[in-house]
Amino acid sequence: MSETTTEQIFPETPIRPPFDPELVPVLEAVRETLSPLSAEALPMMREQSANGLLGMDPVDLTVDGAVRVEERQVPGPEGDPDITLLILSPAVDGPPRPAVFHTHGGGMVTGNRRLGVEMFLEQVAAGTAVVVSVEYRLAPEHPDPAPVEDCYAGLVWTAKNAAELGIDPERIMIAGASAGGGLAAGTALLARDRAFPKLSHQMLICPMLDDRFETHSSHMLDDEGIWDRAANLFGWTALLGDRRGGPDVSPYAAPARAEDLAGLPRTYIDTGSAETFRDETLAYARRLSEAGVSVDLHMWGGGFHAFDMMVPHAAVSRASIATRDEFIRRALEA
Amino acid sequence: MRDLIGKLEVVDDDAASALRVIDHFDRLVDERASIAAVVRAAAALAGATAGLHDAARALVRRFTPDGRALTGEKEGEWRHEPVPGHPGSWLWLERTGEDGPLDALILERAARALQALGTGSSQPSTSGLVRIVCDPDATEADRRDAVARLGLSGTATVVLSTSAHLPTTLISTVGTLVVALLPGAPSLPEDIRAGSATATDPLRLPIAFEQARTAFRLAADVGGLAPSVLRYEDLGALAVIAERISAEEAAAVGDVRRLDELLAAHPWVVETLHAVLDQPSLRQSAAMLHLHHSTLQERLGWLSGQLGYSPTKGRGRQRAAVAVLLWRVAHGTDHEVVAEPH
Repeated sequence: MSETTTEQIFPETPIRPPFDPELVPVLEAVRETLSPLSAEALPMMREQSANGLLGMDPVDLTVDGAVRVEERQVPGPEGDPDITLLILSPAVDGPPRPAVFHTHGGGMVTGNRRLGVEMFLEQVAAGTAVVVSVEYRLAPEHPDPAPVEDCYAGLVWTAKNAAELGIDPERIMIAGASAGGGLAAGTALLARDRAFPKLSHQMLICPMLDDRFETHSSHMLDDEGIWDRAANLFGWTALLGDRRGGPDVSPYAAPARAEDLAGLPRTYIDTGSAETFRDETLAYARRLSEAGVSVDLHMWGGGFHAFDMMVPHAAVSRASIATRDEFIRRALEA
Repeated sequence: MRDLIGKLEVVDDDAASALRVIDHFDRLVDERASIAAVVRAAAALAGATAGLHDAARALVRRFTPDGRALTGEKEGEWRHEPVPGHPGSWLWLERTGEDGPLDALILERAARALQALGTGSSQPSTSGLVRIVCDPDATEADRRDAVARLGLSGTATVVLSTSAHLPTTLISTVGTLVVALLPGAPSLPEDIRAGSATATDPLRLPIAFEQARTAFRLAADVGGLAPSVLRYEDLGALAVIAERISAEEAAAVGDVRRLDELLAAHPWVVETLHAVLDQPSLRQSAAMLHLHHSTLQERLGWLSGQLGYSPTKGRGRQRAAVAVLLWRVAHGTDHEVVAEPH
């Protein structure tokens, strides 16, 4: 596969929907600060993402003392190093709470356990959830199955130690955005197939699910938008190496390949209409539904990848965030 | 990546930040973004609530830096940035404390973006000019210009009504009410519900507009015995009550609540009180109500028992008059649903 040229993979650039006008100025500003994803640029990008992507200000995870922040070293997959879990719990003790097990984004190659957890911080501060975010090993230094197995090991430890963490083990939602969405879906498949633990919900936010580049949307962004086809090819190749696109990729690495989606948890899944992951998201939602899973699917017209995290003030972002927050609220309420 | 846009506030290189502000609004114009998107962008870039007032279209938009729409028109004393070519239209930032280094630039570029995004003619319609003339927040220059365009000079009358059947073409709307301007102080048709007020100088029409609103609140519905058309100038001391007491406060007064309770089963109560208070004798009151005067006597006997005071004599008569007036204040805005800006 390493002999395959980009021209062979992407012979054409099919049409895409326009970006929402209100999103465009920020998209352009962000693109000016981004360099194309490459092995050389990776160390710099990881540094940028240490406090959140693109130099975003670090979030106060304690929310002025309402949230207890701790980190635990817990066993990784058998024979592998320990992994770090970031655990955010309400500062006020109470009855066991539902948990959000969070797998961060970053294209499988960047990001850390703090990235994106603020999405659930309000719930923790309000005393209605415990968040556990896993520091999985990154590709390409640690290719598949290291990332997804680290996520699963963290989930198993969380479920087994639910009592100590103040978690109701019957109500664990797994959630992640982008590569984290793909890892959440893969981890949910592992939990189903290994019969532990039981998940109540999976929240797959603009998820990275498919390494095969067979959909329309996986070809339509060429050096535009966020996470174009070249970046996506870089991410999948980092994770899978020569196996990318071939017959030897497990559904836990690329959940779009799973043949049986029955028995997966209640699902929230979303995407922008102008992003690489659009079609794999729509297909996954349809196939989950056909397998008898209850799915909330939202496609936001004119949205590029992670638009609502980058341009939260835009009207389409407000709609997306409000819809997702409302689902989180309903999923976590008793 | 949340708050990415907010990084503008802490960027050290002022020239680079200024360029980003300029680029941001230029791109919104290139993309033909909405007017609301421009106001949201101003708020997000400045990190402060931003607002747009468009008097000609009776529009107020306010957004927080995270894009949340705020309702209400409480603008405070913020510096107005006029939108060029759009009379009666301006932007502001609700910045408490010291101005941000880019505030002036953000407002200026946002205003220019709105100008560029304006549709077709930037000259307001007649309806828009009527609103500008009545808007207390419009600049004097804009108001003077609008007065001239409408051809007003000397005394003019503002009418607020539920009907558009008025002898003028200078008509607009506020909420669900019609606003009309008439030269001079003409008499109005009687078969509409309306309040009017007259200004000797057209530049004082915003005050007359508020006075006409007060008169409208006290005007009765068409078809009853009480007048449905009221001139503010005829109200005198009565106007003070409508100006100082809100509908909610009036509705909470015990005597008003009692009238509402009685009205539920006896729809004649307020009309009967009006006739009794309006006419010098019970016989004339009965004629006004088309009732035999003994029937009116019976009703009043019952009513005195229910109210706990006699509405026909002395202090009781005064009490009933004030109660009916407050009852009109409480219900005068029932049909006046003001549309919330989106």
